[in-house]
Parts: sequence; structure tokens; C-alpha cells
Amino acid sequence: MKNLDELRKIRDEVRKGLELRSGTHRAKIVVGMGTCGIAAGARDTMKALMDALEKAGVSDVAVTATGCAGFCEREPLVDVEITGQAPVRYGKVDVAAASRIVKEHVLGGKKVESLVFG
Amino acid sequence: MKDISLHLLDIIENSAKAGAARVQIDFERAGTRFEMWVRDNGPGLPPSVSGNPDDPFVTTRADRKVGLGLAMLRRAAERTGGRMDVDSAPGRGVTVHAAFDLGHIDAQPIGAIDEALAAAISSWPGLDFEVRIGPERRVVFDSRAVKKELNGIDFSNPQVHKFLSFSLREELAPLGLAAGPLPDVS
Ligand SMILES: Nc1ncnc2c1ncn2[C@@H]1O[C@H](COP(=O)(O)OP(=O)(O)O)[C@@H](O)[C@H]1O
Ligand SMILES: [Mg+2]
Repeated sequence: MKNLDELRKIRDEVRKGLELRSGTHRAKIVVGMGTCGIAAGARDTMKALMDALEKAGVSDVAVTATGCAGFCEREPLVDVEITGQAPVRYGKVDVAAASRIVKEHVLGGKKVESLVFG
Repeated sequence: MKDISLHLLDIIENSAKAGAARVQIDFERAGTRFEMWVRDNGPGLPPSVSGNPDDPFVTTRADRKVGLGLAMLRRAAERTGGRMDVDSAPGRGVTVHAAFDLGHIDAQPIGAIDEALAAAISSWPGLDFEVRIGPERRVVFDSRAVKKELNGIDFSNPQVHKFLSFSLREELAPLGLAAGPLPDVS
């Protein structure tokens, strides 16, 4: 496998970013990655979330996945869990919605009301 | 599913859900023939399922009485004149194999296999991935090697995710399995 030097560089940068926050994460974003989520576009949603965070140079937000939540018609579902705040669930999160959620909610601190699920 | 790469992601989800520790994913492409194998080391198919795992009315999901993933993959493969088989023995995991004729008029596009794998690796960070290509099964990606270098930093990190997409694309693009051309790194 190639690129291991590149990987070490990334590791050191990420570690520096995390050290600034004494190792804690500012937020966790969870994408519904069950069959319905995947069919509805969850893979591209996750990529859009990752891209928006990476471009903003953010390394203390984790993006991960969960299984089917039973709301298949509202997929892709995305939960934003900002440390110390109640989690917020968004529905039908396409690529455009994903970058809005990162910009306005995760980085800007303001919920995107029009996309909130429920 | 709109392309084969999304079926792949969904099949890997089964392995993650079953609690496998490791998946080995193989690709072969020659002419218009495309084959993939997803092999895990999980518990294997439960007895209630093992006779007909891709019957849509057979699932161990508690919340819904249909399981569609394997059925959809079978349809997608057979529509092209190809096939899908599931091989499993208790305690020896599950292997899903699918073969497609990409030249068939009903074939779905392959899609972005690189992005599907990068998403899977970030989605299920507890699962180890090995990706191999060609009949000689050359290893092009091993998540354990990456994990070791990362030394505690997670696959759910956005910078790490970008690295994963990038290195998978580099390896899979020559087989026509990646999203697009290699990004310009200058
Ligand atoms: N890798 C695997 N390991 C163990 N069991 C599996 C695996 N893949 C599929 N199964 C079993 O087959 C069933 C049908 O799978 P699938 O068609 O993907 O539908 P679903 O995942 O929605 O249940 C699952 O509910 C599970 O019991
Ligand atoms: Mg499934």
C-alpha cells in the first residue's frame, strides 16, 4: 500500500488539532447506513459531511454510522450530537443539506430548523 | 440500489450487523464480466435463514418482516445473465459472491466502489477490511495497516476519511472501479 508517509502527516495534524481541545470531540455525526439509508443516498450524504468538515479543517468531529432506525421513508437520516447538547435528528439529508448542516449547525451552532426530523 | 457499489455497501452492512471482525473483499474484472466476493468471519447465517437467505421474507430483523438486501443483489446480478450465491457454515462466516455481465442492456453501472468502501470503513470502524483485486488476489488495501499507523485516531475522522477515499481510488481506478479520474494532486 502506498501513501503511508502521507498518512503519518495526517495523523500528526489531527493529533495536534485534538490536543488543542485536550482530546475531546466537539461533536459526533451519525448517518443511518441500513439498506433504506443506503438506497436513499446515505453514502453520498456521509461523503458530503466528511468533505465539508475536512475543507473547514475540522478534526474534532467524528462521522460514523448506525443501522436502520425504522423511518425508511425519511432516509437518509443524520443525527448531530454536539457535546453537552441534546441530539438533533435530521431527515432526507441529501448532499446539499449535509453541507448546510455542517456549516450552520455543527460549526455555526444553529440548528437547521427546516430539515429537523419529526 | 442505483448501482453495484451500493449493493456492495449493503452487503458489508450485513457483516457488520452480524458482528464479524473482518471482511475480505475481492474484485475481478475481465472484458464485460465483473465479479465480487465479500467474505466475513462472523457467526454465519442463522439456521432460520440459511436455506434461503435471499428470500425477501426471510430476515432476522425484529423491526420489519422483510430483508431485501440479498434479494436485490440477486436480481441485479441475474438480470444481466450473471448470478449470486451465498455460502455459509455455522461459525465459519458468510461469503457472498456476485457475477455481472456489464455489457448486458439491463446491467446497472458499477458506481464508485472506492467511495462505497471508504464509507464502509468509516461507518464500521470496528470491522477490519482487506481488499484484493484480480485472479491473483493482489492485496491493495488493508485497514489494519492503516489503523496501526493512525495509532488511536479513528476512521470516523474527516481527514482520515479523505485519505481512505484517496488511496482506494488510486488502487481501484485502473480497474475502472472508482468514481472518476484521479484527482490532480499538483
Ligand atoms: N454476513 C452475514 N452474516 C450473518 N447473517 C447474515 C449475513 N448476511 C445476511 N445474513 C442474514 O440474512 C438475512 C437477510 O439479509 P438481507 O437480505 O441483507 O436483509 P436484512 O439485512 O434487511 O435482514 C439477515 O436478516 C441475516 O439474518
Ligand atoms: Mg441487509
